[in-house]
Amino acid sequence: MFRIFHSKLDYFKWSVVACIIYLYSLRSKEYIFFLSYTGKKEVNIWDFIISYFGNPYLVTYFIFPFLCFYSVFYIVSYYEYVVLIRLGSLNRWVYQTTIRFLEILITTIFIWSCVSLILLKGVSFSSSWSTLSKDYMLLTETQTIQKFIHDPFVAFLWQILLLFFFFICLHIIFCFFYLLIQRVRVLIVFVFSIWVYTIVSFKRFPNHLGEFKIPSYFSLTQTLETFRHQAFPFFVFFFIACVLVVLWNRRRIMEFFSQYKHMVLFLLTVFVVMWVQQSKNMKTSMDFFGVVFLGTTKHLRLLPLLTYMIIYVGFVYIVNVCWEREKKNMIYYELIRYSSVLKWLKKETLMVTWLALLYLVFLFFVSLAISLLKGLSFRFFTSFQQDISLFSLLYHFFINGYLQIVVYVLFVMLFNFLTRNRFYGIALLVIITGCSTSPFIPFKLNSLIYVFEGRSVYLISLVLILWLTGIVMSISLLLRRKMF
Amino acid sequence: MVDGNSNEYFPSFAKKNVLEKVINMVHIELQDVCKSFKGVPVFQHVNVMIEKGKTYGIMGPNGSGKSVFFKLICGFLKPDTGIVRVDGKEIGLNNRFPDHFGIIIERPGYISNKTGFQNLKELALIKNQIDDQKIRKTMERVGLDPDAKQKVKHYSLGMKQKLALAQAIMEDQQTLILDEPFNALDRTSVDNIRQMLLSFKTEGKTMLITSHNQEDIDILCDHVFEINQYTLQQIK
Repeated sequence: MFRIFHSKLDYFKWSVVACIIYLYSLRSKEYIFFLSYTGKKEVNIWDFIISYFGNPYLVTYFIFPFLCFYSVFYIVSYYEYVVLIRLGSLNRWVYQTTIRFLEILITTIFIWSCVSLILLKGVSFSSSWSTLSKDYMLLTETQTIQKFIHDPFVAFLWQILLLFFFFICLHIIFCFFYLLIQRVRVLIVFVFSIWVYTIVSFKRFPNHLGEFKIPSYFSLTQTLETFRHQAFPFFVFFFIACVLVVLWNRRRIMEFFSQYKHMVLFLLTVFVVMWVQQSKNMKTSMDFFGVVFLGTTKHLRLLPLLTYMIIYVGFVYIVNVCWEREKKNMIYYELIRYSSVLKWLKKETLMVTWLALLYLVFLFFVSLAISLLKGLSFRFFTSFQQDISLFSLLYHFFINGYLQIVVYVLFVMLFNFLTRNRFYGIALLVIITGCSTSPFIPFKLNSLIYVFEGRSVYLISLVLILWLTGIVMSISLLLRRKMF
Repeated sequence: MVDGNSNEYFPSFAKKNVLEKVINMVHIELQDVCKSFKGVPVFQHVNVMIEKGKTYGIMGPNGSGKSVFFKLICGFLKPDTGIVRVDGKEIGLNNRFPDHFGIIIERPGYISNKTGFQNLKELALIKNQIDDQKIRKTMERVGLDPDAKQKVKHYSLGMKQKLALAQAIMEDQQTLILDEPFNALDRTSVDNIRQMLLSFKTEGKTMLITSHNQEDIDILCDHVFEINQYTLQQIK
């Protein structure tokens, strides 16, 4: 029945879509011209483009039900046994329906753009906001947006991205709902209820309940009015995606957690350690980033030292524990297959270095997310030392951080081989890291304090590379002479 | 080089080979599978092994659970307890379905305003393994005209059944799960499809077939199971 309805609609749908978008956009255009005329303010294309694409009435009353229809259509029509057996898995089914839905979404936005272009005839072009937008009467969409986003083209891109991510997220929610219930009627009732809620929340909810208004997640004006930052809905979409993935793969995730519970607990600890950092006098995300990974070059600064120890030395310890657990029963079987200890060591080290990279990326994004949650501004400069370049800060964090972690891991490995006891390696690492203050000894060299003190990040890289070479040579020598 | 212990070693090696052969021959395995719907049991503690290259008939009255059995094998339904394995891999893990299966379970939802060829083409595009020529050949093989302009909404029941058979075999699927493949077919078509299935049998394809016609089962199947008292009993 769905397929018949769809096929009958096929011939006329895009012309009908274009007509309806045209009518809504025409009303917006007339309204903006009216404001421009009565307020004697100049207008440009951005007033119109943003109002066409961010028009909550058009999206709520027309685009929303139209796209929901297609979402349901693809979900139901692709849930056929003969299709499923060819797709091979339900994950691919979700992917396939999303691709089909995306085609409709892109076509809709394309038609929307075409209609907007037609309606832009005779409107002056400018690369900045118009005088009407800069007016603070808050009668148009652009008047709110220009307070937060300086470039109108960037604002337009944010609006398009919002629409894309909102509808894709919605479609994926419908997919998972259908997989859970597997009844077409229940799915239709669910989708209809969401639409009714969208209308009610749009028309009836007061401003202080903006978080519960669905248009706050697809209309840039409403997003900025509610969250004061355009990126916030994307965090919500990301969170929803994570929840769905976790629910969908709960069995595998539980298995993973039970297998790597040490690592999971450690990452949670790192999160808590980062969260409890004071952010009183900070202004930007990079301020927070700088403070969390500051480290120390002196003995007596206990808090930064402790934070550093937990974040970096803790990671080395956990990697060591997981590695030993995994290899305890397999090491001889693996060694016999590699035929050379060095080859085996190379493969293992490569795996650890990948982990180190992933960990640094994790630390970076978690610190940014925490800084945003703490209400700091999402800007890439440090307010307390503005002459520090972002490049050197990130270079030091990622490149030197990576080299430093690899040095730590190999250092512990070296002492493990020497003493045949994993405790000594880690204990020595903790002691030396606590005591070392020299920039030429390879401990704590990835502390961001070195950048703030104005030391050369490249010299630190050189020191770390030299030490790394020395440790690798020692390990290979040791393995050749002593053990095998 | 044969050492002094070779006599002892050789028999265990041979045993291992036989064991491996047996394991390799088991294509589908249901281990202690139970399935019920809203508290009403359909299967209880079913243990079945399906060998590669054999044809199996599944018999039972309406509503006895033949389609449910097929859906369990394909992973469309998950057992309440027990494990379903295809080629040693557990079905249902990672929400995956088995590879190279051709199926007729319930009637496929065709796009009614498209021709038979267009419908098959849509399905073939999912895996993109076969060309138009192969689709045409398959349609001719089941007795459909690939160039007919007739839309599926104007197809008779028998033609729809042939289309269902065509989609199940067009990609040279090695395992065929066919729920009532002879439904609504005329006498000539039944003979034609029977010959086709017999040729698949000689090619070494694994087939699971349900039919209410004893003659179909007798001609095609190496083994026959009957659904009785919520379990499968082998009757041949």
